[in-house]
Amino acid sequence: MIEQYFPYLVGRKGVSAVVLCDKRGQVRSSWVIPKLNRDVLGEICEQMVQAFSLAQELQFDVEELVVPFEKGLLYARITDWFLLAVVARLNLDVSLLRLMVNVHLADFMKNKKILRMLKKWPDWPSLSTAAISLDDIEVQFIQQLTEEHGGR
Amino acid sequence: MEGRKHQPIRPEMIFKLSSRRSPQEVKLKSLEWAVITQLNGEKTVAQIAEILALNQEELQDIFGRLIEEGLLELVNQSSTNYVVPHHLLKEIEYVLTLYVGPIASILVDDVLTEMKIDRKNMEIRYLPFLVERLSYEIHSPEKQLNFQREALDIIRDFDYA
Repeated sequence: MIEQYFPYLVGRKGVSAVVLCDKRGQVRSSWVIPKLNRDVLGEICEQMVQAFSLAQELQFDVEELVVPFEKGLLYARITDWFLLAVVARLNLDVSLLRLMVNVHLADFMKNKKILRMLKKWPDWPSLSTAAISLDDIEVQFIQQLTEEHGGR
Repeated sequence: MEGRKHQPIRPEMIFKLSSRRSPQEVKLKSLEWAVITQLNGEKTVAQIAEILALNQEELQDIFGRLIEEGLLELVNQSSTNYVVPHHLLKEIEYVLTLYVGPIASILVDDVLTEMKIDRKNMEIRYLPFLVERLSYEIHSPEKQLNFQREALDIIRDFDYA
């Protein structure tokens, strides 16, 4: 699926992996260069789901994340039905990645067959079932932390 | 090494060992040998500099000397294509005109000014950002995407990695 719908990214110099994750963190489709260990893809999906679902819970308007690491970067985009993550070299231009992802995602989600499939994919895990409550000390601690950093 | 004249070594350049001269024929310093061992016709100058922890000055000196000694051959042509060809910028400008009208050239100039880039010497690596930035000048999301698509077709074949 990735090869068919994301041709600008697949095989492009500097791109190591393209991963389609559902909102439960499952890898639905992927393309990776031979050198890259596929085992990391599941972890990437889970972490991106965590990050985006937290952002959503906090009502932050975040639709993309760029996470640099030692020798590369992770570029992730959220849509109504899924997340797309791209692992690329650090020197690959993020604007270029963004342009390619914009164009591909638009075509991908315009496809009726794809759209039917996407509508069957699960939504975010319900955070309310895992709701946590903070005691007074924890509340004070968080307040202190945020005040020290100007409320951020 | 001072006063040596050679073309600037750019991070995206890729070199291989020249078939015309062997490194054995030249007296090389240890760091120069280290660079020689990294050359495989695939690694960029930036990658080799990263592996060997070379700073900009060392990088220029070492590659400059190796070129001067005739030990290196440039594999990729990105050094010659490094500056955006004039017609390419004109092509992007033309595509933008289809979406915003005759104001396109003014918008391109404005964005380039914001980016502190001279139209004549714009480096290829800035192209994606320019296209993205220009697309924000188009209000309709659908047209914005179409512009990105058309502009991407123009710029995507360059090596940005």
